[in-house]
Amino acid sequence: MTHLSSQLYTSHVLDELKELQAVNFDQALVSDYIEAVEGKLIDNLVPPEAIICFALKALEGKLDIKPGMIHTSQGLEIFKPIDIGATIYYNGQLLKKTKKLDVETSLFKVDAFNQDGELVLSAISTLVSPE
Amino acid sequence: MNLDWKPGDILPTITKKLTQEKITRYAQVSGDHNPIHTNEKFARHTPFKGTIAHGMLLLAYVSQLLAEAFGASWYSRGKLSLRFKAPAYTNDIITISGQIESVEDDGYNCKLVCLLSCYNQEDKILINGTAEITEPKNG
Repeated sequence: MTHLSSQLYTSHVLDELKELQAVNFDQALVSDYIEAVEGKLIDNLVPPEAIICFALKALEGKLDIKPGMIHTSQGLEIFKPIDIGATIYYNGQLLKKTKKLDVETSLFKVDAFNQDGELVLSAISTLVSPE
Repeated sequence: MNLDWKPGDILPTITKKLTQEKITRYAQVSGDHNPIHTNEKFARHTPFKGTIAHGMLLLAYVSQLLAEAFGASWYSRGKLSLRFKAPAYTNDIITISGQIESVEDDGYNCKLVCLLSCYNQEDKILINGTAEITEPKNG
């Protein structure tokens, strides 16, 4: 999936999307999320951090994200707005894992694509888990 | 987006009280059921000594601050980098604040860089970081 980019719209790319973990950001999911974070809807768009929130859940098994892990840093870059109703496909990878004393630190990268194969958001998360 | 921001301008702050109910609600929606967030008995026996909010919940509050200040521009062409320095505990009152650090205008786009922080009722910094928002000048 590494050659996916926002410039590619071929059926080959769209086929590859089908192999990724996907989340549909329908009205119900977004409303639930916004209520939980006491936010408000802006221009019928999905809040960008919601894309990461659900990415971590969707990729939990694939990326070996352990239940007890805690965030120590988060980066994100938004390339395109995401409308409610969009299906987002996640490509996640573990960039680095280190262990110091009893603390394991993992660096994950997640790319989020819309249903047209366009890269809409990238995020890098650092999570730690005491062994 | 308002293109009249200047370096030094203060963004409107956001203050939230982190009740256990809110944290548990976030756990249900996000699917992150780590007991450090939701189980007081479990959390007492961890180095944190009590339940703490999800980092991603705090990030959502930071995102709200940016949405309040910059509207849909934040959702369209934004960049964020945050460091979680200390945990936010249940019943903490947290404030998210921001300040414009720089404004770059190349004639086509306006790029704002903001310094961000989140601190608790004891003025302890929980999160710091930066955000960039880019807006086409004709957009």
